[in-house]
Amino acid sequence: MEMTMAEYQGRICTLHIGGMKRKTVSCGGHSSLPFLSTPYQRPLLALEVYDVIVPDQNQYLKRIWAGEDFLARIQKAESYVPDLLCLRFISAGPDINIATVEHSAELLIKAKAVTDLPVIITGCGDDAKDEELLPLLSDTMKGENTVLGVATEENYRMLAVSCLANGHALIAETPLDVSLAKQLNILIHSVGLPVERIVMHHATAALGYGLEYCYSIIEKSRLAALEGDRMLSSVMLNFVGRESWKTREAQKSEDLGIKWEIATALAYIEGGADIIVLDHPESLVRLRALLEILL
Amino acid sequence: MMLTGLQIYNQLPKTNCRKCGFPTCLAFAMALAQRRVSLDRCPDISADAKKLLSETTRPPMNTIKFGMNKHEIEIGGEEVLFRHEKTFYHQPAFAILLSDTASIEELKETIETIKDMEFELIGEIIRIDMLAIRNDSKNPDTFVECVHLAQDFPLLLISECLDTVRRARAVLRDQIPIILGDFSEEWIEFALNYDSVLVIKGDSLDEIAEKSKEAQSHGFNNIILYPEVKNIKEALMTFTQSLEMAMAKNYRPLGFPLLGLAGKDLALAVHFVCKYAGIILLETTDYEDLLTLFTLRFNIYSDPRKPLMMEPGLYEIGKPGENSPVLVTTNFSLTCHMVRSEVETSHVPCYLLITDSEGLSVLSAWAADKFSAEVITKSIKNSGVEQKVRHRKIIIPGCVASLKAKLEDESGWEALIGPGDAPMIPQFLRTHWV
Repeated sequence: MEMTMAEYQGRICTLHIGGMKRKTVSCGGHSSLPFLSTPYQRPLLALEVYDVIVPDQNQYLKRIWAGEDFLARIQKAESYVPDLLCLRFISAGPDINIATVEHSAELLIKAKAVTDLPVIITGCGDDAKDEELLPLLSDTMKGENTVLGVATEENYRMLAVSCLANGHALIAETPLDVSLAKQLNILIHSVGLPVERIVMHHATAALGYGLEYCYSIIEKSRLAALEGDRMLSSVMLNFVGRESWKTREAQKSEDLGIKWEIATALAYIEGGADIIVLDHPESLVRLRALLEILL
Repeated sequence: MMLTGLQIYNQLPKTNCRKCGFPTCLAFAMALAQRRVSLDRCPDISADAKKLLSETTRPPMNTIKFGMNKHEIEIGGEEVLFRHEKTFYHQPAFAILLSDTASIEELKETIETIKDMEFELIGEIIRIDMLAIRNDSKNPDTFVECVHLAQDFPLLLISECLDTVRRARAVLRDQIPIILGDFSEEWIEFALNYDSVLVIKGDSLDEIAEKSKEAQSHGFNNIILYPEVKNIKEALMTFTQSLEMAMAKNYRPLGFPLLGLAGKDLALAVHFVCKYAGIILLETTDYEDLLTLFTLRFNIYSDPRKPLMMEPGLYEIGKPGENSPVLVTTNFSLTCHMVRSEVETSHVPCYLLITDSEGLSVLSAWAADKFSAEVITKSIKNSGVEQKVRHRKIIIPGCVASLKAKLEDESGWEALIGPGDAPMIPQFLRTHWV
């Protein structure tokens, strides 16, 4: 009997990130489940750099990243050769609140000069604050084709308009629900930013902390897209690092934390994630080696 | 091909005799269609109908049982490629691979270590499922001795020599072992006579399917398939294809659980948990690797059909008394689970009050007015917590600190603002609760 495999009509959008003086990378473009077709565009691995290291950051991450300023951290991150960087601006957020949004934008001007890697730029996670902060950061990166995030149902309009004006892609975040994700994509699309320029974030849970929900939503979302649902054909991203290093396990031992981060990342990659944001350089190095084999 | 409930009903005696435990034949047929019961429950079914139905109500992948009575393991029996389509039924068994070239002393020690290894997942103690002994020494006596040492575990015996396996099998009185050796009529006959599961290995699915057909032509169905793959990429391709053939094409020769050799490679083992292995062979006893794998298995093999909500009410963690802290959170199961596991870590006995917030997480529920001062007050009054503790202090999640004043007015309780993230709970309890 002939051994066959499922074939799909749909195709995932291709997302290019970077440009101008920046390097470019791309992801997506598949018409199969992860790695089941050749060639398969491998997922991108991003390393996350925080604008400030807060006291309650994981102790092992602190050991790696603290003691240097943001710009030095960016250069350090770059030395591990990630596909791109995820710059995270939390210092203007209501919890930390040690900088104004204008400060953050100034910091980004300096930051973008020290690296030529493509970047993802995320805010503090507070919908209202991000609505002030992210458009400023977006303006700062005008024309450099970054990924901006995250937009939620609450603040997508302003952020989508800003991405459109400045030529960025937008991360759209919904909590564990394919229909909500589709709805937000449609909303963003109706503002004028096409699904090709959206990066879906279906929420990320670390291994042992609800990973199965995110894993299944990713699989479900990807299957729907492959079966032809255009409005779900955006690429998908997971913030694996920040969730993994919050866990109890990652507070106990650095090695266990790295394993936790890798296992979480790999599960999402198996599910269909196209961009994985990591926090520990060692996880990046090991996962990259693994992805070489998978191609 | 799967039959519908009505098609199955047409094959039943339609006497509504209730011998099957169902009120009507139709009810039984519906249960059969959902594969909730076995056809054997109907004593009056005709031979023809039985033949037809047992073929069509059989899941696309056989369930394989092995191990001992008191520690039986079931693998396979899967019906879907994606857990969200239904659920995965049988989690893969982790087998630690031991070589019989190790000295008896070393082996004894390793086996003792493995016996003592415990992993705690959500209050449940998990242990290593099984061992695999490989006859690297090629010496039958050594192999038999090793098998003897390991016989408290369900076993996978690996040897290419049937005589060696025969002797090892004789040691194992009260378990059904799995045997990975060669494959021929002789081996099938042995496995049939000495109640064993046989592993069919091969370089390609075609080769494996041919051997599987041969086994079934001898009436032997106790099979596990072992596609020998070079790396994670091949593993993904081959295992996915095998399952797709079994499930989408109902191709019987591949309708058996799969064995994956992960060795020392954690990533490959992670892959096998996500993608379709029934048995995962490991060459490590590293606690952190195993904890990672057990946790992942627990996640992937949890039943997605179970609701995301917890029953609202008052839960006891540890043995709380009248002075123990009271924490409140919403009934989103992940939220509850995280708070609970952190409270357990703190070793401070607590009352955990779960509100009826329609299964939303704290912030979502708060935004939707489902985790308001009124909702929490109602929970306090209805839960009976006021009879359980003498104090009137309730710890609320830090991210909804703004509820404090209103809650205090409504409930008459003092609201303590807890941490915003569950992992900070242990420290909070230690420093804020005297």
